[in-house]
Amino acid sequence: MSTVDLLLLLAGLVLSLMVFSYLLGDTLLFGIAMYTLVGVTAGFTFLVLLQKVILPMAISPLSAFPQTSALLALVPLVLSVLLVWLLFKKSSRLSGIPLGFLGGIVAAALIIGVSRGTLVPQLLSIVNAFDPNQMTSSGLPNWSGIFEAFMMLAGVLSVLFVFHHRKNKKLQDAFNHSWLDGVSGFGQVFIGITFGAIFVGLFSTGLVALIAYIQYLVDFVRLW
Amino acid sequence: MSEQPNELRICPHCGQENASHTLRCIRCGQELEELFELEGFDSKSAEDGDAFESEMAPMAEILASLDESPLLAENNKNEEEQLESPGDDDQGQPESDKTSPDWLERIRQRAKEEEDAAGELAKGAIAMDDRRSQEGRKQVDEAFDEILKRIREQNEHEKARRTRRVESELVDENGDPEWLRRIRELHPDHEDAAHDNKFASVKDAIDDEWTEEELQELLRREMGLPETPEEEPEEEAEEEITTEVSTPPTFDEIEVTSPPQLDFDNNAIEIEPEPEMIHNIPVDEEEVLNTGLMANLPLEDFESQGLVEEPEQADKDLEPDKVNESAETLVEGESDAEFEEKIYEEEKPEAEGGNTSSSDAPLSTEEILPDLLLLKNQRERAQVFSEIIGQEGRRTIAVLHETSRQSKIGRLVLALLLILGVLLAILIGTSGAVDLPSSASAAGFVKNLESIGSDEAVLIILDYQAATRNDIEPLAIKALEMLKENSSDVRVVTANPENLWLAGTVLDPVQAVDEYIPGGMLGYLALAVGDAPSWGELPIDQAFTGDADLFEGLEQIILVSDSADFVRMWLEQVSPWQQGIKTSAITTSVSAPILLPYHDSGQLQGIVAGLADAKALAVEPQNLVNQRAYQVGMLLMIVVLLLGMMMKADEDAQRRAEERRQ
Repeated sequence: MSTVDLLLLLAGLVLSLMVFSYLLGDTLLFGIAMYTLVGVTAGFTFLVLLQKVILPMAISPLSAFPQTSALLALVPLVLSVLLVWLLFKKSSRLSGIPLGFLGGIVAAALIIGVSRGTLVPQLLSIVNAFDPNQMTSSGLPNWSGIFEAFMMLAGVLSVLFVFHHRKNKKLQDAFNHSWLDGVSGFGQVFIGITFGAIFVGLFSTGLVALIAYIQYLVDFVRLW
Repeated sequence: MSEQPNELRICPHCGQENASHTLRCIRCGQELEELFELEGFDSKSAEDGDAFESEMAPMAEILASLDESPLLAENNKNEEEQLESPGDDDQGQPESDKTSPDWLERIRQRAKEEEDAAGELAKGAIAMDDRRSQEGRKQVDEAFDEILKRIREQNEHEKARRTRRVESELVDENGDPEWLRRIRELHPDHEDAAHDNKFASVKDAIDDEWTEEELQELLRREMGLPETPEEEPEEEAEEEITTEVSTPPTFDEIEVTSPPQLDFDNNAIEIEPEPEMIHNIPVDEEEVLNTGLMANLPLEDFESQGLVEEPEQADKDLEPDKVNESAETLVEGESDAEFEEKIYEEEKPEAEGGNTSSSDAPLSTEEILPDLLLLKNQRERAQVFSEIIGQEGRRTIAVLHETSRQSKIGRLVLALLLILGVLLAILIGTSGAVDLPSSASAAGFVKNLESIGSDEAVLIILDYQAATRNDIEPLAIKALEMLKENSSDVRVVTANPENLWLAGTVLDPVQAVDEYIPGGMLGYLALAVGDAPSWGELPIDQAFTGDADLFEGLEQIILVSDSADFVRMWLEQVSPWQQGIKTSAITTSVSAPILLPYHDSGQLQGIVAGLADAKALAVEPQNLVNQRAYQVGMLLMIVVLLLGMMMKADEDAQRRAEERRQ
């Protein structure tokens, strides 16, 4: 192991212990580690953007000014300048131009993307689950496929009803509909399972990270 | 009733002896009241002549008692006996008594014939008394009402005079009310300008050669005061004038001796009395004007809102013609009330007719009231603003979960317990191996990966953080090895600057990321949607070192990301534009449950998530984390969760039992 690698390991050990100090609260050591991480990340990101974005996409095209590519390069450059101007004058209307342009594009992309990428495919997935070809197997009913299709449909409807029922719960308190509460409870079961799976995944990911860094420390100690 | 009715009665006036039954003295005609002295009747009241006359009301009762009295019946009986046997009576009576008058005999005769004569008389007396009492009461009531009316009128006049005096006392020598002076004290800059403007019209009307003494003398003459002697000191004269001007007399006190017009340089100049500065601002609103808030408002605001009534306006309100007419009318001897009513009637049609402009018309309470409400609203807003400033830095939203010292200690103990368990698992024993069943999504990923033939283009998108590298990189390394074995055309790109150096572990140490895509997901979207224009290249093409067409000839896309959102955004934004490309994902255990629906819908060919799916890709154990430590950690967490659930159930049961007890 070279000296550089050893120093890097030592630095990693110190930073890891500083992060572990968060168990004792928001201490100074934890703050130093966080500021170090943020500062290093910001500096690295700035260098990457300068090398990969600003210079090749905004500055370099200006060298061929009379050409169309140079004129087109002025558009993002002007918008970028207006966006930077927002740092000095927050109430500037000119700075709203790139923001409005960006916001409009993002909103439109999100709406179209959610429709095309999530809603329609998921609805088609539910409909396809009731395809006779999938509900039969060799001329016999595919009970697992049938059960899965109906559970999928029931899960979707009940989960959607949970949010509707919770929204109008005050109005529905005047009328005691036990079957509505039952449907809502059925949907809450699906939601609970989903959140439970997410929590397990979150804990599993965190646990893997913890084991990896403890293993790293143990390996570092074993070197001596 | 006398105790000895048969004895002679001596007239108290002349001493003449009269019969016991005679009503009046036969000599002097004096009434013999003793005849009517009855038993149980107050004899003192009968003896007192004045008191007796004042008590005429019970006459009817007396007469009625006479009818019922047995003594009177005996007396009548005796009289009848005497009438039946006059010889006996004549013997015992004097001569004068024998020759009783005719009227008395008639009365006696009539009393015999009419038994209820006394009742008739009583009825008449009562009716007469009632009639007299009604007339008297009516007269008394009318007189009383008249007196009350006069008293009320006097009170009203007195109140009006007091109001004028109070208002006039608040006016200074310039005709400015006290509240206006306070405002001007708060705005000394505006005071000079307002003061100059106030007298601008007066100076325009009056010749510039008029001196102050002449004006004061003219004013004294106008007000009917004696002229100031020349030998008096100027200071004394000024003090007198100032005092008098500060309290301008009311119309009641004005004595007009001459028409208020003076010819000076052939110009009719009318010196009007100082206008009364009457404001309708209540006392509490004056306090508002005196507050610091109102001090910050410029004087123009008050003037624009009509709160400040300029002397010029007041001069216009009290036009000289009206004053002259009123003064003349007063000279003719009209009363004060008539004088005031006349002025009011003269001013009222002008206000209703709208001939004068709104600025010239005097402001009424209804007109000023909205402005006052506005000022009150401003004061309330200022109070709210001050409260907000006072609450600055304080916590406005209640903390949902207050971290106590006990919870901190519990969290520390739990973390130390977890670290200790993992450490012991690493130090003690072997690492072991996880033998978990392979999921359908992981099987699909492997199947799709194995289906990639040689020379097929595969695009790998990196987008993960350093914290999750131990959960992702073993899977990504294995996938790259499989692609390398198949001789696939692999191209690695990223939009996350952090992956530029993280990729050094995944790829060959000498190999770097092929391309950096600026703009994140929007950059991917631009590359997926945009075509190369005929006139040149897009600015984003400048960022590529190689071929700018990222999706040309592409067969497979493998997303290496720890974010389910990134994968979802890719499927929503990019995949619809490049529908012929198969997509699969290498992600963490957290993102797997969220991405499973996309696998069921066929949008993702397969998913491998974290350590649980390592077996599907046959990842070597040395490339994974310590499996025993992973198991210990999961076991500890399960125990903690179960204990937490049990403790929570126990606390709820105890709380419910306590609630039932209460």
